[in-house]
Amino acid sequence: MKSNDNLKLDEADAIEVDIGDYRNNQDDLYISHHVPTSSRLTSPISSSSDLSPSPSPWYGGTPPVPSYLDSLRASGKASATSLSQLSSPSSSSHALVRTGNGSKLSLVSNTLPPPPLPRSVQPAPKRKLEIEGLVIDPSVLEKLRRWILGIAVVEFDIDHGPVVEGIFPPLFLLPAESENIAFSAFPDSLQFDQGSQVHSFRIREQISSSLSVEELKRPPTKDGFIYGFSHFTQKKDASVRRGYRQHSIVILTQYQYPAFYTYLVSIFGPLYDTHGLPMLESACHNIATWRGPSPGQTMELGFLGTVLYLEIPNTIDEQQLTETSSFKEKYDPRLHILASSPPLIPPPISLFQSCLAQLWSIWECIVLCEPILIIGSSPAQTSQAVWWFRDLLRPLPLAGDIRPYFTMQDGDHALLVNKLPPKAGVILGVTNPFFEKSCSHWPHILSFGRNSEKTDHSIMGKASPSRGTTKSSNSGRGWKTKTHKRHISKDRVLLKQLEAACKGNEQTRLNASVALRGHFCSRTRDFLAPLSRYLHTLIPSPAEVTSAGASGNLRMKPFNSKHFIASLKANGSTLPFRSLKQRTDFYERWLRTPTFGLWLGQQEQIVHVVLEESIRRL
Amino acid sequence: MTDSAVASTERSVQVKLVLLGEAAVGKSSVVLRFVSDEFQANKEPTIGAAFLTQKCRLDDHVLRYEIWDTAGQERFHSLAPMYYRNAQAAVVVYDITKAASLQKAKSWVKELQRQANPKIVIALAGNKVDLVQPSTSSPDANASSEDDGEADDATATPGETPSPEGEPETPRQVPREEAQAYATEAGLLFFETSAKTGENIVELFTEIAKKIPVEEILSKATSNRSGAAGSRAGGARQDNVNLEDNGAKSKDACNC
Repeated sequence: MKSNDNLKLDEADAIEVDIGDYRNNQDDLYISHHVPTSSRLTSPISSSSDLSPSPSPWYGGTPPVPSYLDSLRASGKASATSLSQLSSPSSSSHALVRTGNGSKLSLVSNTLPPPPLPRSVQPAPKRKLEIEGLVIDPSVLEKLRRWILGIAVVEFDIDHGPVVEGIFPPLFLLPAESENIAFSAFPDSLQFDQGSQVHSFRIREQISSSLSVEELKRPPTKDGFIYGFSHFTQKKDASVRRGYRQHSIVILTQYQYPAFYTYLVSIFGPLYDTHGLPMLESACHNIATWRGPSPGQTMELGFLGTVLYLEIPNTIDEQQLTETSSFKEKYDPRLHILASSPPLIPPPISLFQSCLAQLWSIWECIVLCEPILIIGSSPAQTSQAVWWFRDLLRPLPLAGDIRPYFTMQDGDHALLVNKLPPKAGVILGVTNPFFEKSCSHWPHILSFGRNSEKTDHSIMGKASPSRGTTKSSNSGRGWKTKTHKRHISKDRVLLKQLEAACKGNEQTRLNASVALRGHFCSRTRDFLAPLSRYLHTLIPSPAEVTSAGASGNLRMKPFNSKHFIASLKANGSTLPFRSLKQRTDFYERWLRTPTFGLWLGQQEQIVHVVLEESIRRL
Repeated sequence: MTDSAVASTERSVQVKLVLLGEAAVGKSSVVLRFVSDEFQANKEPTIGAAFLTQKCRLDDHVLRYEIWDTAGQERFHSLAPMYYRNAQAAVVVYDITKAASLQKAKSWVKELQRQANPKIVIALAGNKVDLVQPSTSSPDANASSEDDGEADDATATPGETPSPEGEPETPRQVPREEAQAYATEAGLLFFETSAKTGENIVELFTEIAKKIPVEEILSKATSNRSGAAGSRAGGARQDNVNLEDNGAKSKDACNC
């Protein structure tokens, strides 16, 4: 990592923290403290030394400045075993602490040493009981579950960190899942003084597939993951010890429909903040009145006083294009929702300002299943970006593990972030600076800069930007790749338009974002064209079908890479490759990705069904 | 679907309509009658609000109601503004056999006049007219006597059995004249209705439709097309959506 690391671990076992991002924000909150007790969190993450720096996630909550820190404020570096202080003298409210055996590095505010987090925290505040007291008719529940698993209320507990206070309707979760939801629902770095924000996450179901639905007591997921759409709010509240209240409302669902659920929670979150439990109840009953999601259909849904127009894709790998959408009127993401598209408000192009010219490289990496780390200043940024890239892959199936917002507390942390090369196709969205270190060996990193701009990512929300100007690690922004060289040509005309649009108003940036999405979607289709063309030659001809007759041994012929490359050379490609060699190289690489295997399997399945059909008709 | 054919040639106007009123006066039943021409005894109380749509054909255009049927229970009162916000029409319902429900209706009217869209068309509906002597305008004079003994008062409140055995009528507590006088004074449309028999239900929504300033909505919708997020002034918009079941099932309810 470069010198702009926000968190560095010195070889000599001394600790130094560059809190450049924060030094001007004396009044801002950070973040309480949490030291995970789970061993998975101290497992082989990071560096070659034995130190496993496991900085705490930084949760909001105002740190009252402990007076004992004042006396410690002057010196420069921390000793390895005692309280150190922030390297900036102007910082008043944080301390770096090394606890226990010295293997953990944590930022704390007012508790020292920090209390360990029990595996499953079960405080029973009043609201929890109230949520549990809400009743729901089984028939309403069944209808509701066609759309969502439940809505979780996550509160920040001063002693325990984020805790799921309740879920309505009641949803059976393992303690590890509940903890994962709680942490994923909260930003782990500071973005604003008061405000709200919407982001999303994807966590693995912990329950083994051997359990039946009855045993699970909850609806099965589609792909082994639970999707969460969180509306986080932070506001001043004198009645809370820290002076701030933080909580998240999370829609939990089995569907990968980011544009839709983001929209839903951005309507619901603020209303819940104002009205509380009656709103929770109303929203759930409201959703239960909808017909179930029907693939390929456009639905008109009334939700809490707003009417939504939602188009559901036929399959999760279908591209939902604005040009072909079922909305007769001109597509407007403020009115029309293409369920599987990324959230388009605020316009995603704003995110990519620092890497516009590299977007073509990034697209290639996505197609080639290259693992990518996305660093943002907020979960809203990272989740929007991860969904954006996942969407550009369509109609190719998703082979890798994507996490719109990934925290250190995630049950898969040790699995996805370790000393080994990252798995193919992984796209992680992170905001905790710790990942810059632990993922420094990753081949591709896209950084939006942390805590840099006052990018307002509060979707339809009001977020007052952090006080103080936060000039920060902007130097690390942009796309950094160690291995990838671009194969196809950029669209320079489009690039010029994008650059101009970035300076425009929101509508201009929105239009440009939609155009950009359309461009890459068509590139993905262009990429697939030669493969589809070759695939057609593998399908038995009608004559072969007839002669094979009832023997029933009709299959698609095996995919032969050499033959495919020959076909590619003979027929060419509409993708503007920079050279013929680059073209061959790109396809050869793709044939080695897990996406290829998955895609081929799907095609074989489709062909198989069609063949069965035609044999039956003989 | 069935709508696209209709909508493409005609001007269609979206109208947001909200139903308000005390619990168990029959709001959901009024809507159900209008939207599906059905009646269901002992309906479950509404929680939050239900959303339904129904079309109303006028001479030269089609008006499509987006109906928000709100919960009458007090604990949901504070949610009402999000349903009447931007609404072009409201139906405030009371139960003619419960004087207190008219008081509640009056307070809803006051709230609407103070806080809703200033041009909102408000109708006052005195429901459950089937429970008392059929009014002169009723085509079905036998409605209430035939159903004696049934506890289906078109409401959701358990324990309210309005027609005790052997007694042909539940006493009317709100004289028609009184409600009419109030409605005139407050500038409201007024109907006495029965969700159970259907009396005056279509008439209610048709009269509202006639009072909706269609031209204004249409021109506003065009100029606001690229307007702010979320504020969709009802306008001539696509109609090729699959309507909720209720909408697709029944044809236009208004016929005038």
